[in-house]
Formats: sequence, C-alpha cells, structure tokens
Amino acid sequence: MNTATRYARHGARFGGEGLRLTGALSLRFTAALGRLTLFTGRILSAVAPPWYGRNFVRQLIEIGYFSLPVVGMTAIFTGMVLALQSYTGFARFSAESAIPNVVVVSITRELGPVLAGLMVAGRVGAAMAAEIGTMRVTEQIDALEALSTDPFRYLVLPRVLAAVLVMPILVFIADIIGVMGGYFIATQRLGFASGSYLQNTLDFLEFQDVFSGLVKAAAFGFIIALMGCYHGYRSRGGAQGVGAAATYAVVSASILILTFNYLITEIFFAQ
Amino acid sequence: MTDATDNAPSAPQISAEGLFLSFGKKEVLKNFSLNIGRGESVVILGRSGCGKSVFLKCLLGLLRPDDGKLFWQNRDLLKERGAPRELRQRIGMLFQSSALFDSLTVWENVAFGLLATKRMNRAEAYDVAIERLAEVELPPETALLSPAELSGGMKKRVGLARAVATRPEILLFDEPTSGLDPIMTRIIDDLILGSVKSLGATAITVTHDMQSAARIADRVALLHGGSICWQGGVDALAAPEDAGNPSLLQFVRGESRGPLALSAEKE
Repeated sequence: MNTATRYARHGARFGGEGLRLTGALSLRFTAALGRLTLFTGRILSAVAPPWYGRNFVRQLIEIGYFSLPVVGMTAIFTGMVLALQSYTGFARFSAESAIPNVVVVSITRELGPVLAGLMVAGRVGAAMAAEIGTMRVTEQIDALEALSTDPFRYLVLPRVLAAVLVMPILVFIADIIGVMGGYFIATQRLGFASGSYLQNTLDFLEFQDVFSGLVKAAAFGFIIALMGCYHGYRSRGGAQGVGAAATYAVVSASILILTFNYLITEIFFAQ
Repeated sequence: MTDATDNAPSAPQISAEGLFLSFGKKEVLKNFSLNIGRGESVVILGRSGCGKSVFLKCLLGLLRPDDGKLFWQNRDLLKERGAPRELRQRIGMLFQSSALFDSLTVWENVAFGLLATKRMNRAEAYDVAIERLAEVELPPETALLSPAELSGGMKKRVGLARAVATRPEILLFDEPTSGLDPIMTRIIDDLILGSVKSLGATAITVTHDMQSAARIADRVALLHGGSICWQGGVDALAAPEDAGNPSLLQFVRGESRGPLALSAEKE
C-alpha cells in the first residue's frame, strides 16, 4: 500500500469517525435540550393552586437575604476597582471626568447583573441542586408524590418564582453598592469632589440602563433556579450523583448567564 | 409446587396482570401477576434488585409499566385518568429509607398528608400528629425535633406514623425493618400489625426478613426473574420443603446454590 492510499484510508476513517462523533454529540445535545424544555413545561404547568407560601417565603430569604453579603462584597469591590482602573486608563488622554459615567453605566448595565448572577449561581444554584438531588436519592421526592403532592409545585415552582423575583432586588442593591464603591475611591483616593461626582452619575444615568440590568437579573434568576432544580431533580447514584448535579448546575447556569447576557444586551441596545 | 394463582382472593382490591417493565435492556418485571384482596396482608419476598420495590412504585404511579394491566377495585390504573391520583390519596407508604423530609420537623412530616391533601389547619394537624406519634410509641417531645436528630428506629416509626396519618385503605411497606436490630424489628412488626388491624387496611410489604414476613403476612409471594414464582400461606415459611418449590426452599434456607442463585449469575 503506497503512502497516498494509506493517507486516503486514514482520512476516510477519520472523516467517518468525526461524522459519527458529531452525530452523537448532536443527538446528546438535542436530547438534553428536549429534556430541559419538558422540565420547563412542567414548571409552567405547575403554576396553579395549591400554593406553598411557606416554601416561597423560605426561598425568598434563602436566595435574597442570605445572598446579600456575597453580592454586596462583590459589588463594592467591583465598583472600587472599576473607578481605579478607569482613572489610570482615562488619565492617559485626560478623560478622568468620565469616570462617574463609566462606573455607573458599567455597573448598572453589565457588571451588577452579571457578577451578582454568577455569585448567586455559585451559592444558590449549587445549594438547590444539592438539596433537591439529596431529596431525589433518598426517596423524599417519591414520598412527596406518594403523599399526593406535585414536586414541581412544592419544590421547583417556589424556587423559580423566588429567584425571578428576588434577583432584580439583589441587583438593584448591588448597583447602588457598586456605584458607591466607585464614589468612595473617586472621592477618597482620586480627588473627585463628592457633590459633582454624584451629580455626574445621576445626570448620565438613563432609565434604560437600570431597567435592562433588572431584566437581565430576572432572566438570570430564572436560569439559576432552572439549572439548580433540573440537575438536582435528575440526580442519580447517591453522594457522587448529588455532587455532580451541584457542579453541573453551577457550570451550566454560569455559561447560560453569560450567553443570555449577550442576547439581552443585543435586544436592548442594538441599533 | 403451588400455582401462582392459588390462594388468590375472589374479589381482589388490587390486581396486577402480566406487567412488564424494563430499565434500558434490563427487564425488571416480566409477566408479573398478583391479586391482593381487601384487608389482606401480603408480603413479597425476593432477592435484592429483583423488582419488589418497583411493583410498589408502579402501584403508586411513580413508575409506569411498559405493558400489562393494573387494576384497583376494577379500575384500570394505566388507562383511566384520575384513578392513580385517587388511589394515591388512599395509600400510605413507609419507604425503605423512611424518606422523611429533612427541612420539616417530625410533626410536620407526620402531618404532611393532612396539610397537603386534607387541607387541615396547622393547629388541628399538630394535634393529630401528636396522636399518631403516640400510636407508634413516640413521646410528644419528638414532635419538634428534625429528622436528623432521630435514630434509625425512630425514623422508621415516624415514617410509619406518617404513612397511617391520613387513615389510608392501603398500606405499602418497603423493607420496613432493614437496618434495624432484632428488638426494634419486632417493635416495628408489632406496630405494622397493629396499624393494619386497627385500620382494617390492605397491606403489601416488601422484605427479605423471613421472621418479619412470618409475623405480619397472611400470604407470601416470592418474586424471581420479574414474576411471582410462588405464592401461598405464611405457614410455608416454617416448612418450605412442604411447598415443593425449590426457589422458596432455597430462599428460606438462605442457600447460595439453587434456582435463584443460578438466575442471578445469568444477569
């Protein structure tokens, strides 16, 4: 067999395997998308009485109140770094006066919702997946159904609703804290006048900047709860399965947050 | 050898006819048939992983058989819409792992069915939960504990209190005595017997525990290869050689060689 024939055969084999691999991956992706769509459909069909108000309030506290410290810390340091970095960059072409504008727009449009979303995905998404996953592998979800209780109505819906509702509130608070972080550095470290910094910030800020951030936050809340519940609900095989579910929940929620951040930005700001 | 349809009651409350269920390539139920009469206590014996719990889950509607018929009071559970939901409201189940809800206290676990399906108010439900806890010999102080603070035996008792809380017509017990010491096993058996008798309920128990089966069963069925290979009176457990069924004989004697072991090797 000459070299050309050998390469041709290798190429054909590689091409065949590549095609098979592409096909297998496409099938897996399509199946996963189908499962996720069905899961979302079951959540939507669960929007009906009986309502589990206690579970909903518990989730509001769990997702909202207990995430405040981590979201607040993220926001304040992001605002501080943003002011400092912008100053060092803008000073090169004497545009330091734009710092209040850059800080407020960056925080409200992008950094507030995205960083809060990623932090909450890490904290809450993993916890949801672990809790529901543990309930799955210890037959607690079977027990719920045996007690004539729809697990989607009892477990999933309160989490999704609470996350969608509480994320915009968290992001709004993060926006304020982030902007104040920038304000603190600008006035205490960079020599800005307090009054004019705040005036510049408010003058430059538009309603759509904040609104788009809050819409993103609601979408990210849905993504975080959906991924946490979906991966938890599908957990199998004991502690290892629950651990894997928590990991998948955080990773998939983070990727989807970044993807949807672009898509929502495109919808709001594309001209 | 006793035929699989012998000893079946004339008007079964629950009837499974030729059920088939597979998980991927593994056939778990294969032509599974069993009739259970009202007020009867049936114990299903069988090796681990032979599909005993799967049948209970089919009955609860948690799993759907691939083929076959499943009747409750002549209502087709696999075809009639609403029948599985109605049946579920009349069933109480004790899970193998007790399956108590971690996020709730003991009394909330016991009263869960009352709050969720009977729409009872919390104060009333609390009183009923305390009564049910007393029935399983647990003091009122346990009501405010969380499941994580309970021993294995206490968890089983709370699970039993939850199963009987709504006064169901049918009780399902999945390995009720697994992992318990002989004394606690005896206590749980007595509680099961007491609950079944006081409620006049139909009971289906899945277990490996022969002594436990002998105490609580009216009738015993042996599951092997996805179907009931023998069923008969509970006396057969004391004298399995008289039943003339090699599978039962091997199972009761706990021998490693025999038809049950051979089949397992094939799997």
